[in-house]
Amino acid sequence: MLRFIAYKILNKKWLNASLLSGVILLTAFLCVYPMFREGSLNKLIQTLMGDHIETYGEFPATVNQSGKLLDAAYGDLATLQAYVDDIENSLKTDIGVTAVDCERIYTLVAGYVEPSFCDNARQVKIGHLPKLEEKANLLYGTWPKDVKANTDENVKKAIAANAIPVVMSQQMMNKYEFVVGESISYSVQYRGRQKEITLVVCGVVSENKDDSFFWFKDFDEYNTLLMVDETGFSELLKIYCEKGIFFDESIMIDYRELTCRNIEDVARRAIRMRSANADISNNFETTVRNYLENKKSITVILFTFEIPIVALLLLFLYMISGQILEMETTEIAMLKSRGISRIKIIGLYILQSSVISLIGLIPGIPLGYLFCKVGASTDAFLAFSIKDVSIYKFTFDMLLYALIAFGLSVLFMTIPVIPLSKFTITESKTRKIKVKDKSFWEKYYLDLPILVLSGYLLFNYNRQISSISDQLVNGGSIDPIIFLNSSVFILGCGLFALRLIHLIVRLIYAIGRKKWKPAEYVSFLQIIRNAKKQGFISVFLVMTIAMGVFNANLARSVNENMEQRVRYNTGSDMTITEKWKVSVIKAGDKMQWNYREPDYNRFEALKDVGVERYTRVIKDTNVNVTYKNKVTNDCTLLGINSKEFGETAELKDNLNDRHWYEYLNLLAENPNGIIISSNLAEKYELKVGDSINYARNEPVDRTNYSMSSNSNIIGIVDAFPGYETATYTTDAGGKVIAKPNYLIVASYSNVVKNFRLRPYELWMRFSDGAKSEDVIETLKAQGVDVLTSVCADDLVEEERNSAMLQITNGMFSVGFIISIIVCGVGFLIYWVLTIKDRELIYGIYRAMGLSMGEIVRMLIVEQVFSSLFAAVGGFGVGILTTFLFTRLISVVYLPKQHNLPIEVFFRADDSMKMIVAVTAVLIVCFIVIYRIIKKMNITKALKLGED
Amino acid sequence: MDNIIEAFNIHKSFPLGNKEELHVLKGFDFKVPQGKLTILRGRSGSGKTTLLNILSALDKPTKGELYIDGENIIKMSEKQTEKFRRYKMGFVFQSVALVPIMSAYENVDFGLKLADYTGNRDARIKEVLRFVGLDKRMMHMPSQMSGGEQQRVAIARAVAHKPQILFADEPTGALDTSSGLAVVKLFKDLIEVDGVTIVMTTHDPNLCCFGDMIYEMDDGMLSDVTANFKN
Repeated sequence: MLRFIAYKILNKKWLNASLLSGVILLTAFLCVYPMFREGSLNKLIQTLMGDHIETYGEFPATVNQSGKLLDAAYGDLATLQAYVDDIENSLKTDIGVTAVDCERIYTLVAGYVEPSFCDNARQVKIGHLPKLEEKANLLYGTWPKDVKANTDENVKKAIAANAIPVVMSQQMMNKYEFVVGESISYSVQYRGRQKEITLVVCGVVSENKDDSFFWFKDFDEYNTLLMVDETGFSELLKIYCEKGIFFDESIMIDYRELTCRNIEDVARRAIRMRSANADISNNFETTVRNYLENKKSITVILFTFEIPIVALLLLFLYMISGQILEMETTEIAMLKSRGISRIKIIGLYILQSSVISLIGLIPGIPLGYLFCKVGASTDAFLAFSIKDVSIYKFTFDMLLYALIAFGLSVLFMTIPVIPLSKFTITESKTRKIKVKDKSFWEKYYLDLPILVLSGYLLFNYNRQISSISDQLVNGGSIDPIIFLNSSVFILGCGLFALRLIHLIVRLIYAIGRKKWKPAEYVSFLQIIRNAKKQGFISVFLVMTIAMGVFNANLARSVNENMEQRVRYNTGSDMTITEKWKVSVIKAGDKMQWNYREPDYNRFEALKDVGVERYTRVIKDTNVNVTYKNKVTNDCTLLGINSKEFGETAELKDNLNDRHWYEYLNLLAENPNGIIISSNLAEKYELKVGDSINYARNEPVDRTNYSMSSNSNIIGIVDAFPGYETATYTTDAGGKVIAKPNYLIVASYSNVVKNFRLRPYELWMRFSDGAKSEDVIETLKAQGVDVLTSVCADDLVEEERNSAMLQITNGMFSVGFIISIIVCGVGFLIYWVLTIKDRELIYGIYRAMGLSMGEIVRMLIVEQVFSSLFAAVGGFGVGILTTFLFTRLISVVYLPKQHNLPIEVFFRADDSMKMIVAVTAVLIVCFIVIYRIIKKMNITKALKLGED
Repeated sequence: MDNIIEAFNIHKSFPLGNKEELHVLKGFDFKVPQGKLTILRGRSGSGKTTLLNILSALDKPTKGELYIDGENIIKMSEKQTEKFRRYKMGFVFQSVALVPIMSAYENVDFGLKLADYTGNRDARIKEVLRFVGLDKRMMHMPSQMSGGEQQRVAIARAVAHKPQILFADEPTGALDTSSGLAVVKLFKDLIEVDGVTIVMTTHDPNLCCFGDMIYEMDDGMLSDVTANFKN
């Protein structure tokens, strides 16, 4: 049997090779899903962990247990350590992930103490960090164990008087104004009597920044802690075992080990540990919650991107299999006529399909691996770059998906044999010569309900667009129908376009019916009367091109909208803030903070690294606005130098009533005036010429709005560089809500005059090729202590590499490559078979005197009115789908309110990629077809026909 | 009697691949009288179809001369032979070979279009279809007709543009005896009505009695010639 099947397969080797290519592509594309999903989810975990570090400045995955011990037994350090060691081991075992480091701190409460050199009492704690000397750097003085070597006279004196040596952090030194040699004395109750304790600061330490795992908490948190060594701590323990010893054990788990496979289990363990013991806590539950919300979206998006391409591939398998079976109808009918049962015939083809599908699995899986890597290397639709894609790895789930591909392939290859297996030889012949002028869908008008359904869904979704975005902002999962509906629309609209094309062709034929030359006459009748046979390839062309155009435009729109929003939010190419020196002076009965502006000329050096322009921008997001006794908090104030700002910042032209330069000119002409945002104007029904009061708080006391200014409104804007119309906050119930953000733009000089000089942001405009790293390096070289920096290019890059965009760009690009291959192979096979099928008829045409040129013209006319019309129809459907669906789908990616409305981007070069690919396929196909026809010998063709 | 086709010393060989050749027509003279039914008879493989292909300018002989209506066909370019076939010849094949996507009417119309027929096409189509007895089934598709009916449409298509010569390669090969006889009778009628010259091949000895000139072929040579002219 297998030999017979092998013979059958080899007998139609090209067709079966196409079938095999379809199976390979199907397997590969299905295998992309688990690999891309797992890689994206793992990437998401790492991104969220990175975000946690950035937001909270701490190690993102720690499990902590703290407690208070009050027992004489713990007066012994070894007993205490053994007790906490047990806790550490149990935390490690229970969480089940490798710990990269552990931080342990024992704390003893000293309370308010009297330092020797300070006037006031300070509240301090005494701590012991067992690994301190290993994990910290000594800045001044000595470690407690080397206190005898300390040269400070005060230290020497104190040690001689039995003081316990301690070290402190730089932060504590700054906060409490302690110095090396400072003695701290206090008394505690010990065995019913007051016991005097004296500590002496013998050194200042800072964290070893290379040991970032250990210092999972910001070192600033140690600003009230005096740190003793083991000897000193042992001494104190004896006293404090009566008063209370606090311990805090944190284990830092290796979050690089957290993957989509174990993160939920680890989180469950952490929750279980926390629930079982109130002293246990962790800092990654929120991260896991965020992950789970994103996981749903990623899974839904990936899945919905898979469906149309898988459907296309199954259609391809069905079509090619149908073509093969069409050629084998006599064979099948013969078997049937000889009394072989339908089941046996179908069984034979199932076996044949299984052999091909099984062979397809072998290259399909590695090809899927390659597709995933290629997809992960995209920056935009069909734009690839070399990047680290090692997070996308082979997964055993790919084997499961390969099996699904196997099952689907066998099913779709065998379906066409089911109806054929019922015909005997006579029925088969009658069926074969029947003219099939209408496809099933065309006959029963299936395109119309599909179109109406998708149109209705689109209308409904568009009506609910704001609730969809609210839901998404609040971590709601994506409705897959939003994505799938676009594919349904493409199907319905594509079929409808084909119906129209058929009508147009009929009309053109009817108009010139009497006048058509023989070649055109045959071509038109061929298209009209053979529509069912050609229908498949036309549907294929329309679907591939429409999906390609839509996917390209959608990916482009999502990328561009994201990029524009990021650039709008940044306002310029890069902004930085610098740490300024500050001094406090007494002004009357109030403390006044005086900032000293560093040398502005240092920024001149930035011009050497491609910074074209830069300007000072005072930005304060905590301004109060008062109008007719109504106060609005948290408004944003921008203090700008109009000319420099105009040269540095960027804003699209069409966002305000007038060009934004006109508003800057107004500000330059009226330095005491202000520009406000339109939402503020609406809120208070303000108009140009009205006056409002705005106030800034004191730098340290954010509730004290001591300085204010009354200014006239000179302009009202909807958008301004760096100004976002809404900010998002989470309310007490954990719901993310949009809060309107109001803007006031004033001249820099006026803000300084009214509110004194305060640190400003430096906004920069880059020339082509300038990089943020070079800027930071140059700033460091100039002695600028950079506090924060935001670079638009870096943010765009970060966004592009986000899991959601990576999936979109990757899947659309890979899907398009696959559909072009499939379309090309399908198209070629269809036409080669068609030509072979028509060999006799072409021989007859040639015998009757039709020239070679006329035969070629016949084919060209047929190609133009079927393939080219279908291709153009596909473009039309793709563009229509783009304009109808892009805004809705982009909301899924950019659900937050923004000054920049979502725009549809339709770039010619994307279409050019499509046109080039489709044209290349059509040209290759036409060359192959032409060569076949050219080789065709009339007498041989006639002979073949007779056979 | 005038000969419309005259062939001299016709040879035809086909390469076999290993530098050898298959000599199908081994050099003979051949004439076709105008306005008569000439039958080429012989067993399968005797070379009659090869000869018919050469006579109808579908193929060229390896050696020899061929004149149709006084013109040297061998020296003609491909374009000229195409024109010749288009306007002066008609073809009927064993495999019927109607265009499956065209009705009987359209098939005939296609033949007329091809020959740039200048008269009233509709009237002519109806006339020839009536002549072959299918005026009632003009709008039927080939799939809706029997083999004999289809062959009659093919004949109507072949003669609609009034060719000088009609070539028919085993026109009855795929038909039952009665349909075959009907086709040959139709040929006789055509000769009588339009004065067409018909050259047909057959292996059916029963049809030979209808021929005016019968050539017997055997192994690439003419083994016998019978003239059966009534006037």
